[in-house]
Amino acid sequence: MTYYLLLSRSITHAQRMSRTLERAGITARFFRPPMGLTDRGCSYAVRVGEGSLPAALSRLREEGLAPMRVFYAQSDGSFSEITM
Amino acid sequence: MIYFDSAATTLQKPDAVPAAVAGAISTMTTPGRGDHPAARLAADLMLRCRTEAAELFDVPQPDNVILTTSATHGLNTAIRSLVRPGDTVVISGYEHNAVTRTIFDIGGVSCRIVNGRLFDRAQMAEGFRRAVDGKVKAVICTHTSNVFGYTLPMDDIAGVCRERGVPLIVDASQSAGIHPVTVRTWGAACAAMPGHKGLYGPQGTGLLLCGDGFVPAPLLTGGTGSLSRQQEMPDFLPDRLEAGTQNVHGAAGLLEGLRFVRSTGLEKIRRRESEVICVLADGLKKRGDFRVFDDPQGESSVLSVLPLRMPPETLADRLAEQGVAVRAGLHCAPLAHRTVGTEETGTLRFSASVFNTPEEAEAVLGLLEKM
Repeated sequence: MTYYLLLSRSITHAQRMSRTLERAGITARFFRPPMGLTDRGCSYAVRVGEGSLPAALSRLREEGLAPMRVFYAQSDGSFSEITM
Repeated sequence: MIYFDSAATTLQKPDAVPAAVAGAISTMTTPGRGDHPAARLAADLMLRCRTEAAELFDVPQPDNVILTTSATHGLNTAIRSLVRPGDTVVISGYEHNAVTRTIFDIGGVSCRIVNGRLFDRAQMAEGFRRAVDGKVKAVICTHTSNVFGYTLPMDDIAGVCRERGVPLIVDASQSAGIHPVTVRTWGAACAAMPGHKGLYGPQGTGLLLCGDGFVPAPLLTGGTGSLSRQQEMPDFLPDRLEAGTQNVHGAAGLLEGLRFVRSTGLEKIRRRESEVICVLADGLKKRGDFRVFDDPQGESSVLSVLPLRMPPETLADRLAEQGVAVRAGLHCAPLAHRTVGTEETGTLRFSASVFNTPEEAEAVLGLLEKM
């Protein structure tokens, strides 16, 4: 299953991203992403469906909650970073 | 017991507060340390607590709400972050030791103290206008005196700080949950408050509310569940100031206290508490054997009195024997007593919560008649 992963700076940031998107009708669960995605150790991320990325990013920017980085999760479990 | 020591700690809490603490103990662990249901419940609770506080206290965003162990913890964090040896600060003559001892401990800080007659708000505002200039590193000011219930003209003081570009640290220990605390509108660097007084939360909880752009240096360093490879503390809030396992159970109680305050309304709380205090003040003034330091505007939740026939501590003991809880002494605020001239004797302090009634105040007056 493919999806986008929006990397946040903290759990609080991830929670707020998740709540903002859920309120906008976008399913967005926050969770711990694989540590290998960052070089700084533990982080949190929000997962959104493939078709929801533009709306999600737009909504988050409006709320001042833009993600630190965005990754595309491929069906084989690998991740590739999306340039913003 | 008739409890009039809420300026120290409110004893009667809304029923939801202990229930939430008990519920959290058996269901919640720590946010950011795992991704299982117990950790997620805790994370959800912490965010709700931050959000509730941000809305009640006009904080820019929930991330700027730091869960502390007390107002003292928050004040230490803020003051030590901004003030260094050699700096000049301005404080009021009504500060608590949480402020004055911290400044003293930093050492080599020049302290301008704005004194003024008790309850003379215009004089206090003018004093700050005169004292705050470009040399001042920070203004640190209590919102309401814990000894006298004197609410300082914070809108004016904050206006002076904004105009002169000086960071303002507000000690809202005695005002939170009673008077409006408006961090963003004031343009304050931060406000610190305990959870266990007017917010009706458990002891061991507190809030440091940071204004826009104020990211203090941490007092404690350690695990935050974020950026773990990095040895510097995170540079963002709240993680920067919340090292170590958080008091989630306390926060669960504090959240219910915050909800209680919001749903009851500050005006209703203030009206009830000042009504009770006015009954005490009026009754004691009629006796003639008390010096009564009451707010002429009748808007205080705290009343300090000086019994003329016996030391405050003796009277407090006698009241305790009769089932009345009050506090005597200097109330950890010798500077406030020095300002008012009661440093040698201290005072006897009655302090109300929204759960007190005028009938309780009348009952205390009746007991005092018999002593």
